[in-house]
Amino acid sequence: MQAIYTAKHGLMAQQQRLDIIASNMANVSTTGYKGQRAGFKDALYTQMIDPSDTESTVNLRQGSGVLAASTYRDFTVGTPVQTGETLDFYLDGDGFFTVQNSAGDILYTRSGAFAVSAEADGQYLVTADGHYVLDDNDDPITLPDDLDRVSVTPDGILEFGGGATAALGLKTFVNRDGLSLTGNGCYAATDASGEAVESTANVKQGFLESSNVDISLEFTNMIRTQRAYSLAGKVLTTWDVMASETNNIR
Amino acid sequence: MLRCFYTAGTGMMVQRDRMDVLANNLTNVETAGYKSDSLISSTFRDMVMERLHDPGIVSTSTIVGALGTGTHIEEVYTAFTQGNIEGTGRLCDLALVGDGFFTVSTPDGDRYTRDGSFAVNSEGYLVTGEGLYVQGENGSIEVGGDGFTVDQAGNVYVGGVLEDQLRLVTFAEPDGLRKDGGNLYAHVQGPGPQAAGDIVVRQGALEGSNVDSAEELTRLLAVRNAYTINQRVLGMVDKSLEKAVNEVGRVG
Repeated sequence: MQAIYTAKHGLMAQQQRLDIIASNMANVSTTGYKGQRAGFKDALYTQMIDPSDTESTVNLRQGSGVLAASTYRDFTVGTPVQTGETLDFYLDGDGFFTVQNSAGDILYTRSGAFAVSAEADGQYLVTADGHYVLDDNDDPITLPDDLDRVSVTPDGILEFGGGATAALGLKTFVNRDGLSLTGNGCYAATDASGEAVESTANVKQGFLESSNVDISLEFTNMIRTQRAYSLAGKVLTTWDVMASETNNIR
Repeated sequence: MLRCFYTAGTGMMVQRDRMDVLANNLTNVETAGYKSDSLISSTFRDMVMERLHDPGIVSTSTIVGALGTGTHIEEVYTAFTQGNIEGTGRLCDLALVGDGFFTVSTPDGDRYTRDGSFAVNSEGYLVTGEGLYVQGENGSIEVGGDGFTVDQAGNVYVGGVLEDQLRLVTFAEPDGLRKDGGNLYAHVQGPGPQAAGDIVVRQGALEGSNVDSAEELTRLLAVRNAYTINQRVLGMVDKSLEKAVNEVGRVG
């Protein structure tokens, strides 16, 4: 009786998909959030034996259900939302801001809602979580005292007035699906994502990127997930009826 | 009388296997490019019944007729009908409309798939979700990132320049394909792959599963009832035998 395990796989796979949908829906208004979706694969097949011809090589393949084998992140650009804030930046195109967390790890984010951190040795540009925003040499960007005069060119050069400039470290990856999400909208590079390469995205000041989650699509997928979940449940209850019939033979 | 036990038993076993196949279809109702299976059963070869010790005829036997001895699984048939096309807007998603398969390279040789939910790996090659290289006419396809375009004929353009053409193949005998899991098919018998002619590639879309959940649920009910019927037959044979053993021979 493979069916009960097959049904279990079905329930588990749809449960994982529902988790992903829940995460997308919870982040429908998170700046720079990128929606995800589950990719399903059919699980292993085994050969059944035809009792009238045990040597038979014809297709008698019995499947064992489904696996949520991979997740695909949708990196399409979210719509810009005007905020008018000097230190809000929007990336138009494929790319990430380079930031550094307190442990010294270099991370990448699409969320350009930056702030100022006043420290003993000067003012630093930081993210909402306090990560340092890095320049194109992976050094933290320092800010002048007068913040009203900060402007940015489309290719990511911050101009502070008086001739001082700093270039935002804008990077991208060959395989963005391979990035690992470390939380708070930050991604870390992995072997699968490859090395960071220069990005050609345009930077706009005074805008933030909205989440690219399409709520109507998520609702549709939620309904489909629920249906697929009940179908697997139906298999399970049917199997249960059949098993109890087996028990009632004698 | 005893033969009935085994006849009803084979019936239950076939329904159990059919249930396993249905369960696989029903759990793969959301799997991209999945093709539904159906189990085909057939009867065991009929036996010829002969009447022995017929007092009317000396030293010969009379053929009474044929007797079936139950049922067994014969073949799992995969229906390669077109699944629904669902737009995703993701450039690495490719859907096939028409008869044919993508070719992917695995350590065990080429495999074939209808699931076009691809990605780009760290070296810039087009791969499946499990990291297997998607094959073009000139081997693995280097697309560099997800900024490539694919036209309806499967030509892959990177930055407007023709890079390669997807190797889309078809099989004269789809029965010679074996499901290998992971949405892949292996070619095990019959004529080898040929270039697919009547096929269109759609970028930014995926082919859904071709499982019709209404049909599968109907079959599920039928299987459950057929299983129950066979179980009842078994029970009745058992009761009859019980009578024969305990009551027919009772004296006084």
